[in-house]
Amino acid sequence: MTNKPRLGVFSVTGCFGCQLTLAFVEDILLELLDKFEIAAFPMLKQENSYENLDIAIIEGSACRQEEIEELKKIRNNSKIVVALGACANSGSVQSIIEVSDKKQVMETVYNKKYKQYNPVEVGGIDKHIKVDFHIYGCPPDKEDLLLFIKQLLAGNIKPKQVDYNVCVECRAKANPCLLQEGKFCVGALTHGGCNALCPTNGHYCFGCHGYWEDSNVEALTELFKEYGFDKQLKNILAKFDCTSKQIKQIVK
Amino acid sequence: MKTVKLDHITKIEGHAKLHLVIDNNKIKKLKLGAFEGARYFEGLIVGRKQHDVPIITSRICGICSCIHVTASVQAVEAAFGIKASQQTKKLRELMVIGERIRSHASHLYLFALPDYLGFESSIAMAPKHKKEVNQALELIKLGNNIVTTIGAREMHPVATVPGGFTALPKQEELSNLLKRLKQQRKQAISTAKLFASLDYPEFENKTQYLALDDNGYSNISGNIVSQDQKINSDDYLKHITEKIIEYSTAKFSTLNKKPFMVGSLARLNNHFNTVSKDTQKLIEKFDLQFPIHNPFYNNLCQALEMVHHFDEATEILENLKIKPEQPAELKNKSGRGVSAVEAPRGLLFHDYTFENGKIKHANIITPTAQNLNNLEFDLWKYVPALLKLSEPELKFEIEKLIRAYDPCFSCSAHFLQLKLER
Repeated sequence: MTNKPRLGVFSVTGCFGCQLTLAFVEDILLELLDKFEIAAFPMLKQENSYENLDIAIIEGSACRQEEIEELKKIRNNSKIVVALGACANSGSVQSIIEVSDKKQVMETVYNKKYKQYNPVEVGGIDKHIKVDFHIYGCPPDKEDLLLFIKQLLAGNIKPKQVDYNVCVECRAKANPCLLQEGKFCVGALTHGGCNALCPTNGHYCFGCHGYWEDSNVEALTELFKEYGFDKQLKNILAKFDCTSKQIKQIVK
Repeated sequence: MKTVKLDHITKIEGHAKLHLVIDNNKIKKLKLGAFEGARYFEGLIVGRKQHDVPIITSRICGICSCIHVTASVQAVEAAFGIKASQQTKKLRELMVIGERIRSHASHLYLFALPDYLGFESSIAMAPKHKKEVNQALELIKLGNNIVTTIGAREMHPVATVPGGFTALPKQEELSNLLKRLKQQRKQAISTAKLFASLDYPEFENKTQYLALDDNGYSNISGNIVSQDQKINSDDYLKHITEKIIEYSTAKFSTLNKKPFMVGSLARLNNHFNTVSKDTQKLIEKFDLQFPIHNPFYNNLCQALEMVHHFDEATEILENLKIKPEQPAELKNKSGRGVSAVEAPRGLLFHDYTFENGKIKHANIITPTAQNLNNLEFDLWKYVPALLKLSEPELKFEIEKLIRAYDPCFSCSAHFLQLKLER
């Protein structure tokens, strides 16, 4: 490649953690940035251009009308759009409001004044624009993210992405299965890519990589019911991926 | 009439804008606001059980998720009447020190330093200042490694739960961190020297400085102090008032009805004589007379704190022998728990009221929500002297002051929907 690909790293409402994950590749950050022409990266740069982008990486979810316009502007100027992290993919914790009593949540914060504000429906950025690639997680796993970027740089425009649940990675790590021990865990319903981080560190999986489309959701919800976990299941799942159809069904 | 709009202030965490109207060399209007979308955290955790709360509130901020989780688990424990073990307290402290090191290093080198060395960004600065940028990355890496060793993840740590830790670091991992802290200590000192050598704009605006106090400088325990007042953490609401501002998704705060400042400058203004001995020696060497009323010195204070944090972390690690421990069990309870802690950018409050083990009411006040009012107060005083400058120069100087505060608008702007004023 003679010309370096023009990269933009953008954010709408979120915690900035995904961009930081990208910046916290300390040993190779400078080398990595050098592989691109950094057209825009408002977190790191003062001068930012939206024009003719080869790749746009976006974190966060649109929580205001202006952000929807911003997303469209980025899409119109970019060949490839990547949704980075749980907010961009499904709204993450901001999306809890979509499965809550919305009026009540807003009233908790604004009293009766909530009506003067004009909230948009929260969800992944693909509610508003076409997304070419999804990198899951809150935050995304650094290695997972790097693998993706390296494949893109190598000219692989169909980078291979993780398509299995957390259980696969948990097994590979030879962790004892929490469910089999009668303990709570939603790894079976959750997208992998985290290297089974939580179960490896004594914590049940709480689904921060979002719902895994190929889950056997009927059988699993039956199993959770049998274990008496139905209530927990609702609480645990009502966090990172509240806008996916299946999770909405379980938690509503 | 001239209008200056900074529609997207860059090189900070989160989204903020400033609207300035100048008429006849006088400021007609000056409004600084967050335009991060509303995230309603305090509403979202209502009805949630104790274990769910830190998982959700961690997501308030990426750069300081460790301190949000720490404040969250401490507030839960206070409400449930649980006392964390000594080992748990030390590990939490170490984790937030790691976070502080990476946060200060990121802010100082990647966001603030380009302002002083005349570069558009750290990316543009890197080719000419490789040593400084590499030093920053090594400090960030050390901070990240401390956080990961204890919390199991760089961001949104998973091992920290109400009652303790779900997984404990191995003693050899801690020894390794201690070795690295000793090796890299010279980088913290050279950071302090570098930031002491910079030319800060001459500007003073005396205000109230508020910080955590536990018989001196403190990170995660104690009550709060200002120059002339001691406040019990549980009573913070009697003194700190949050006001809804139509042009900002972050609320504006006052202390006893006046603006106040939190963060590194406020911490050192209150505690310059209880930081580590070597930090005190540097303060003497740089001939600094606290209290300092120049907000630009917040950057130098961050750099000085870095030396203090290296010394604190070293002391903790030299005395820490990990013993197996399970997180304490929490039985459903009713009651209120408040945790006041120091986030990288200043005081942070998590205040929960539980009813039968579920959140009934929550209040969270982040550092930037406390500083925003003071920052606007500073701008009113700082901008008039800059009116002769060209617009790009004016914008640059204003952004420089804003960045000196190291604001985090992701943190501060969860609570209100914005009404744009155009």
